[in-house]
Amino acid sequence: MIDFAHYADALGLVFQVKVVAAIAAGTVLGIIFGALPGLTAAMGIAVLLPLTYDMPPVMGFGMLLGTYCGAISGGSIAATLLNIPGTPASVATCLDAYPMAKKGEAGRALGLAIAASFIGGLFSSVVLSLAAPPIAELALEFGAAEYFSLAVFGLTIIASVSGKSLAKGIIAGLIGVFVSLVGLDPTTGSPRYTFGEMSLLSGVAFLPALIGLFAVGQVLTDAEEVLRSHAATIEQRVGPVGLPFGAVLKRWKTVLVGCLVGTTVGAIPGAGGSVASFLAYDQARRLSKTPEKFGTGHDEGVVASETSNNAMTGGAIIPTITLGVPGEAAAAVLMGGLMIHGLRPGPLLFTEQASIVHGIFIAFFLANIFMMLFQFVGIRVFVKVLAVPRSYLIPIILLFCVIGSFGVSGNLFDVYLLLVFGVLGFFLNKYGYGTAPVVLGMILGTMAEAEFRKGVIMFEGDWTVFFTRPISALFLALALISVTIPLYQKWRAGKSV
Amino acid sequence: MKVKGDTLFALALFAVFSFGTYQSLVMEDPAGGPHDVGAAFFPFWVCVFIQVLTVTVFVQTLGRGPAEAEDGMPVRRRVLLLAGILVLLFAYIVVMETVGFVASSTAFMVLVHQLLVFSGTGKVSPPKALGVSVLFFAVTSGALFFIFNTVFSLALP
Repeated sequence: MIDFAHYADALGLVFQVKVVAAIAAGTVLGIIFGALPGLTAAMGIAVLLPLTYDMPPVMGFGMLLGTYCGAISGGSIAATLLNIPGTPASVATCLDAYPMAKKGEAGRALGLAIAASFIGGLFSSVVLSLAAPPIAELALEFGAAEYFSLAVFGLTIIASVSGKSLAKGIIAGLIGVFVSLVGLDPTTGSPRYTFGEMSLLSGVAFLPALIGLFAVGQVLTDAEEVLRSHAATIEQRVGPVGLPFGAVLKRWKTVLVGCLVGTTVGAIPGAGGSVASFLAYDQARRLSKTPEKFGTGHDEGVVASETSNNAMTGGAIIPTITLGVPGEAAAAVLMGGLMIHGLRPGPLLFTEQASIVHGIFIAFFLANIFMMLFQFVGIRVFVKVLAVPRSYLIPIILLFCVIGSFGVSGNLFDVYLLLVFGVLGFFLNKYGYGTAPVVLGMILGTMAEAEFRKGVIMFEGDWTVFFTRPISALFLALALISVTIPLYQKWRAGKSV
Repeated sequence: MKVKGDTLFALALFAVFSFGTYQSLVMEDPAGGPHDVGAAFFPFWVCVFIQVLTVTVFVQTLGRGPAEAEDGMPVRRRVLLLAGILVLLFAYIVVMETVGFVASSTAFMVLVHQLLVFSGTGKVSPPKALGVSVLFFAVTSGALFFIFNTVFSLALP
């Protein structure tokens, strides 16, 4: 049931000039990040995190939500004009938006993408505000066994959908778990892998690791691109850009498929925007009366992809704030954003900080409106961003990374951690392990170990409780399925694991 | 036989986590048994799992054909670029507290920019372009210092 009292409090938290301005600024910066190929939504949020350190929770988190929505939608700009997805979530958009641009309809493709993104984002925003409270209420019933099994399920599904191979995905997830074990043992207080370094006693600082993996690692990967080209050359004329809501809504079945697939996939840990957009694109093609037109510059292709990738954003936030299990990489960074503001994601957030949670719902809604408005009004400016030389952008991004790591604690050790995780992130990306499972492993590893040991103590060493409690058993069964399905599929396809 | 980077990386991970396994065995608070889970329990099993999986990846990648075709970039420039960025980043962290944020950041960004330009074109920037980049990055450093230090009260060196 909708709690109007909390919404009334939350409206007061959000509708202040500085909060609305922060959400708007985050959205604009997000669109810029999304428009630039190679700069992902997760990286944008990681780089902008230091700007929010001093802000109140709703203001800071609202800005990051704006970045998230803006980046996912902004990815369609490069997809349309360069045939390069601005973010991985826009891969499927290239298939039809670029052919449209080649036919001289770049403005129409961009307009369709903006309108579809807005509808998808708004849909997921409504689903988020309606679905999150009951899920959090259900999660209040969870005990140690359920949380441990949930963490195991989260880790296995992330590993199975994120990496190029199941083995590499699991390795990346376990590296994250390993990192989460560094520091004083929470139960006995004995040091683990600290090697006498005082700064490691409280564990590996989350934000420097996060920024290192997502931003520095990506920058190092991206820097190689500089050798190929300094800046993009935009060959297509953009032409007049409208907001063809009529044309989008006329394809209501495609919109509905995009919304449902996007939100559902978003809520599955690790799946992410690229999976959502491809799945929605494929389903829309199957349902279409003119499937043969897909891939040739068809409206439905753009609508399906862009509705779903923005619908994914709200879906990804649901498990992040209700269970503390991020729906995708960018949501993991958002989770870091919540934690630096002293908010612990999970069901208790809904009882202890209900107004803030409802403020987040409103901020997310507002971010989607800003995303549509700014992209529509400023599309020509955002297109020009594509021509900014990388040799100027990369040093500034690296500087933001250093500020972000140093700013949390004012400890230079954290900046060295940034460097270490940046190098690790580069190699993990280069060899197909992925960085998202590492971050999610860091989050879920802490949860898995703490709840497992709590469970063993509570049930006096009886491990069977993990299999006999219904919800816990369900999560473990899902974990088993999420590992065996890809194994079976690869075995049938004759590929290695 | 030429060993691929992928195979070497799996080997490196195996070595790191073998050391992790060894460390878990010599921890003050041991792994314990099934009814008495100790501090080393998770570290030990996580490292062992990673070791097993890295061996799998090692064997798979060793058995495969030649590495995927590179994109034609000169290897020396690639190594120079990546190593250069890392060395500059390390040097920046080392001198930041002594030299101060604005000066060290400007120098860091100018040098990274020059490295990127050189890696891309094989030439250094002409003096005028260098001057423009110095000015641009000095203004950027100053603006960021103002934003973070003054507006957001972040204690930068």
